[in-house]
Formats: sequence, structure tokens, C-alpha cells
Amino acid sequence: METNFFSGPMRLESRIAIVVAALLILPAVFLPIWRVSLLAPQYPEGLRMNIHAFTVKGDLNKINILNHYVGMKKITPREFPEFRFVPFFVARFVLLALAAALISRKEIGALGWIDFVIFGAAMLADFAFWLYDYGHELDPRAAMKLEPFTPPLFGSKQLMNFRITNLPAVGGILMMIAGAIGPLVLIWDYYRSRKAE
Amino acid sequence: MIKKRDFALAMIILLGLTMLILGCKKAPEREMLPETEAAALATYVPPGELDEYYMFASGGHSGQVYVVGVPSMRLIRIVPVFSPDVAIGYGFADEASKQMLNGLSWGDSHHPNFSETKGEYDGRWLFINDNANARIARINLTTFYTEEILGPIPNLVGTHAGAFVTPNTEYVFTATRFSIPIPHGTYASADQYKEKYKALIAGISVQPQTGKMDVAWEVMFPPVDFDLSDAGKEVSYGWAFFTCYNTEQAYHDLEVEASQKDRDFILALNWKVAEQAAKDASKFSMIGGVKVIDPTKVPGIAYWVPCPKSPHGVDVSPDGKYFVGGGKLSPVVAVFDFEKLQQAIAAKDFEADYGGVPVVRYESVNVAEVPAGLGPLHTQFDDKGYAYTSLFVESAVAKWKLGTWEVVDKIQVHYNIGHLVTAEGDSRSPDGKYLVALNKLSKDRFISVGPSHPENHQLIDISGEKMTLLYDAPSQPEPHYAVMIKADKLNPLKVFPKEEGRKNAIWRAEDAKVVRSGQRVDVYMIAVRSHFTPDVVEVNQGDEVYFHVTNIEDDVDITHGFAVCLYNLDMQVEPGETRTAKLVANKAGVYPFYCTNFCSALHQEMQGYLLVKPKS
Repeated sequence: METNFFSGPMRLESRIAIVVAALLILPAVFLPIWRVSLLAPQYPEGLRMNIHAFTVKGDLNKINILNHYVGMKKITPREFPEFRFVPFFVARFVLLALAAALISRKEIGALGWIDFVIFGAAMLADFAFWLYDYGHELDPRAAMKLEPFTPPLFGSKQLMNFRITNLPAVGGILMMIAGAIGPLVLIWDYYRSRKAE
Repeated sequence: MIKKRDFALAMIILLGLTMLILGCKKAPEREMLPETEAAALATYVPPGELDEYYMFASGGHSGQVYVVGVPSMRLIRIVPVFSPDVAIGYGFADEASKQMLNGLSWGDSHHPNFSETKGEYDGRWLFINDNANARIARINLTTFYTEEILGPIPNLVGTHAGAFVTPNTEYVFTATRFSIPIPHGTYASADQYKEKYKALIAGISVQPQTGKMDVAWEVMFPPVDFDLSDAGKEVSYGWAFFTCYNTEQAYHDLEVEASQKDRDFILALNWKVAEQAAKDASKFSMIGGVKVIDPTKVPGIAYWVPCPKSPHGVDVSPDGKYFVGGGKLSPVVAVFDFEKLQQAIAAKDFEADYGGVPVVRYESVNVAEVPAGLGPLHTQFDDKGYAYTSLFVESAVAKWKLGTWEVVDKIQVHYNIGHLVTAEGDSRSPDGKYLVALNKLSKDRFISVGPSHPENHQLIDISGEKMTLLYDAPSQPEPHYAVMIKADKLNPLKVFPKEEGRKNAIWRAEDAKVVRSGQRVDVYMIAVRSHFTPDVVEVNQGDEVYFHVTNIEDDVDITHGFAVCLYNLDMQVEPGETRTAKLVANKAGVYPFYCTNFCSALHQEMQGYLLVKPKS
């Protein structure tokens, strides 16, 4: 008997797992998703930029003042259109996951998951683009001349006296875990169904 | 065969040479005795770590306050109070502080004291007196700035007996060391001293929220010289004690004349009674614009307690039970019991009256004459029931036990100690641990800098049974008195918070502007790494130019300076601060201005031009 991988009703355990995934995505609406940390000898305590779904918070003022020496553009949250719609997208995924669990249809869950992954990839690409842009659009009249650079999307890089580290923050990590739940649930569900036959 | 004589000679020469060689081989290495090592470890604060205590010492005739870290004894900051500090523009280019000094460019700062709540240091403010010009300053311990200067206080001059604070900062007291006819400006020849010259105690009230000071009332006495003071606490709460000398009422040759009597007084003032009297118009007169209470009209307001001999310090024990008089010309420390004072007052056990105010019988109030040593001046306390008295003449500190009155230890200091301070030593709960002796003479203790010597602050360990000397630290002239507070009780600002509505402040480069109104020009300028905006300013010769500079950094320790060449102007603006400097552009020409406090890699490039167009 054919058990469909991507369609049909969901077992109770799967539905609960999807609800858990939804709850894991929820904090990302408010908590930071990604974090840029800067360490330098004169900043032993470090400088931070927390990227939330709706803005960038942290030592923006200090970082902008330091950046102007190398001609980097000012980071102004207001000027990023992403911040206007990302929170709603994230909220939408939470609702989609809850809907899938409620209606108990794997199709909705699967589609939602694909949507989520595409969205995540798009956002990472978008972030990578901004990193490239800020590191390359340097004012030619800046006092300190730097070779155009790209801060790493994920990891550490030394730039003059600063060590820049880019890593997911709480919201980002939770979303990754939530994203992993989708396929795990489907696989587990499939094998359970097979065993039941 | 060697002859005996030759052999002897050879031996003598050999011996002589050996001694010469051994003698020359003087090991220049320092001997590290265990005590020296222990002392070094006790005072060493390793890089990256912090001192345990703040010591605020008066700057004496420098007019400032010195902030020292204990136990490292490092001078961390000089807070300008009564004298200008041209480096930061205090009382110099900075208009606000110039107005606060109000034409006086010097003061004699003597006795700093913390604001208190329930008898404990609360870390809000530090009060200090100006001995010369009858002023009290209040330093904000969040910003470490002098926020307010009260005075010259009407009718008072030579306000040595200040600033002393009551247990809930209800009042800051000060009193006169020099008597004059009142109010200020009154003339009376010196031979009318006893009749016309007056001594006064002033009760300065402090607004609990803002700290703002006011002369609430004064109490007038015959022309004695008040010296020091301490407020009662716990059982003696509501009273304050003031030593005085020159009860002989001499006005010249005091060295001899004021040392004639065997006993002078400690004045016990019931400030609660004074507070009430200040509400009753029949009990005071308005002199010099303030309420001056006549104590003879207010029974219960004050009592004289006899004290040997020309007493200097009076200090109240942590539990408030005893007040201790240091008679600088006597070999004993006189200890008085507050309860007994109350009993003597109730029983009217008076031996005389002085200027219409009762003198309590000495024997009825005195409970001990501690034979501490020669020239006792000032007493502080620890957490184990011991008292420490400075002995000027003997150049030592004596440690004695409250209650048993026995002297348990004595340590030599170098040299001639004035005051001393123990950790939180005049609060309700002293910490013990450290004592700093504020020695007046340093003589041979430091490498010589010519005839003018620094003072010597010696750090002494009082945590054990016996006192041990830890460190000699030179101090600039001239701390008279100091107070010590646990470092974590203070919460100083890291940067000034941005206030959107602040007067004269601008927070964005777009808002920088030059506003002209007749001959007045207001320049609203921002300072940030590494430029000024605007950085080219044009004015006309004769203009009154106000530079309102806002440092818009929010990063710690990024100070910017602002100086104008040849116009004698320099000030410093901290992150988040706005300061105003005034310049009258009477010289035509081109005058560069620049940042004087090193701020960034491009600090040298942080400059501008003031263009003064000549009057045609």
C-alpha cells in the first residue's frame, strides 16, 4: 500500500512537533536573528550589532563613527526596506505551521516548509549582498584607504585592528532548529506509517 | 727562610686588601624582608584590576579635591572645586563654572564629607568647605563635577569647622575660626573684639532630591575660634559637636594668648531645637539676610562642654555614645559620654556660663582621659571597637579601645601627622582594614624636589592587632582631611546621556548653525571624531561670541577639547555633554581653533578657523 510522503493526514506526534516548530520560530519576531561582533584591543568588552527582524540594535552609533574613517556607509536601519516586511513573513510561517498542525494535512506542512527554506535562503543571500555592498561601496575620499572587502556571512575575519565575527543569534538558531524539524517529521512519519502496514 | 717580621707585614697587607675587596663588594640589591614583601603585595593592584576604596582628600590651599585609589594610593583624579582648572576649562573658558566661582579664583578646601543616609555614606554627594571665603561646595559623585557652590555665607568668614554632615544629610554644618563684626563689611577696631566680634555656626539645609543648599539658620556666640565638628548619630542623633579654642578671646598673638587656659570647649548644639527656633521670629534676628539665633534666648539649644586644651578634632564614636576631643596642646584624649551629658543637662549640673550659654561640669560628662600621646588631633574608628588618634607633636598614631580606654598600640609616622582616615571611619559602620595618615612633613621620604616638599600620605594596615606601615605616597599641597568610601558604593556615569531638549545642545551635524543677533553670535557646534561642525566661523570684530559645543559621542572616554589660539580659551567636553565658552572678538584676524584632548587617529586634523572681520 502506498503511503504518501508528502500528503495525507498527520499523526498526533507529527502535529505536536510542528506546533513546537512554530513556537521555536515565534521568538525570532522579537529576538535578534543574527549578531555581528567586533573585538579590538581598545574594546575589550566588544561592540555589537544585533540584527532583528524589524531593525538593527546595539552599538550602531559607535560603529558608524568608527566606520566613517574607512569610508563605509552609515548603517541606518530606516533605510533597509527588508525590516518593513520580514517580521510579517516570520509571523506568517508561525501561523502556517500552526494551521498545518490544526488541519492535519502534510501538504500544507510540506509547502510551508519549502516556503520557509526558500525565504531563509533568500534572506541569507540578501544579508550577504548587504555585507558585500557595505564592504565595497567605500568613499574614495576616506582618510584610511582599505581594499574593498566582504565581511563574512558566517565566521570571523580580521580587519585592521578589529576582529569581525558574524554568527546567528538566538532567533536565528531557533529558526534553524525549527527548519530541521520539518523534514525530520516527514521522514519519521513515513517510517512509522510503513511499519504500521 | 721568611723572616717573622716580613711574614707579619705580608699578612697585614693581605688582610687589608681582603677587607678592601670585601668592603667594596657592596651588594646593591634590595633586601626583601618578609614584611616588605607583604606590604608590597598588600598595596599592589595588578594591571586590569581596581582599587577597593576611594579616598577623597581635600586639596587645601590648592582649592581642589584629590581622588586617590586605596590600597594602591594612586592619584586618579583632581576634581576642581574652588580654583580654575584650565585643562578642562573649569572656572576658565567654561561659562557655567566661571559663574559658579563668581569672581573668586581661589579657595582653601579643608574637610570633605559624604552625604549620608541613616548614618551610612550613600555616594550621592561630597561636601567641602572653603576656609577662607566662607563657602561650601557640593560635588556630584555621579559626574565627579562640582555642581554647586554656596556662599560667601553671610556673617561667616574663616569657615574651618565645615563641612560636616548629619546622618540623613538634613544639614551641612560649618562654623567660624575667625570672628568678625557682622554683617560682612561692618567696621569695628580690633580692641573691640570681645564686644563687637562674633563667632557663628551655620546650619546649611540640603534639598533631598536635588542637593541644593541654603543657609537655614545661624547661631551666634562670643568670639571664640571654632575648629572642627562632627554630627551625633544613633543615641546622639539630633546633636552636633564643635570644638573651639581661644576662649580667652584674644585677637592678636594667639599663639600665646589663646593657649593660656587649660580647658576650652566642645559646643554641643541641639540642631533640632535650632530648627524650631528658626521658625519663631522672637528667637532670631535677620542679619546679613539670614536668620541669626541668639542662643541665650533659646534654652536647650547649646551647651559648652569643657575640654583640654585648645582642642582640635571632635569625633563621635560609631554608636554615637561617645564624643572624643583631641586637645592639641594636651597629652590626653578627652572622652565624653553623651548620656551623661543629657543627665547633666537635665540636672542642671553646670559649672559656669559662658556668653550666657551654660557650661556643663567637666567631671560629670568626661568618662576618660586616654593618655594617647603628645598633641592629639583627630580620631577615627574601626569595626572592632578601636579608636585611632593622630598625634602631631609625637608624630605617631595611637590605637586605643573604646570602653576600656587603654592604649594598645602606637606607630610612628613620617612626619607630624595632621588628620587620619580609616575606611568609612566616621560612619555608623566603619570597615577597619586601612588607615591613611595625612602627614604634614615628608622631609627625607621621597627623592628631593627642592625646598618645597610634598605631603606624605602613609597607608597603614589596621586589620590585625598591631598596625603595620604599608606605603608612603606623596601628595600635592595640601590635604587636611580625607574620607574613604568603598568603591562599589559609587556609580559614576560612563558617558552623559543624550537629552533631546537640553539647552544649547545639538545632536546632529545637520543642526549645526551660527545665529546672529546684533553683536551677539551663538555658534551651535558639534564635536565628534574627528571634526567640528561648523569648522569655519565668521564673526565681526567686537562681536560677543558664544560657542555651544556638544560632544555627540556615546563612547566611553572619547573627550574632545576646544581651544582658540591667541584668545586664551580652552575647555573640554565629555561624551554627551554640552559646554559653552564665551569670547569677545576684539582682535581682528584669523584664529585657528582645535581639539586639545587627544581623541582619535586623526586628532591633529580636528581643527577649524575663527575669522574675525575687521571693523572697517
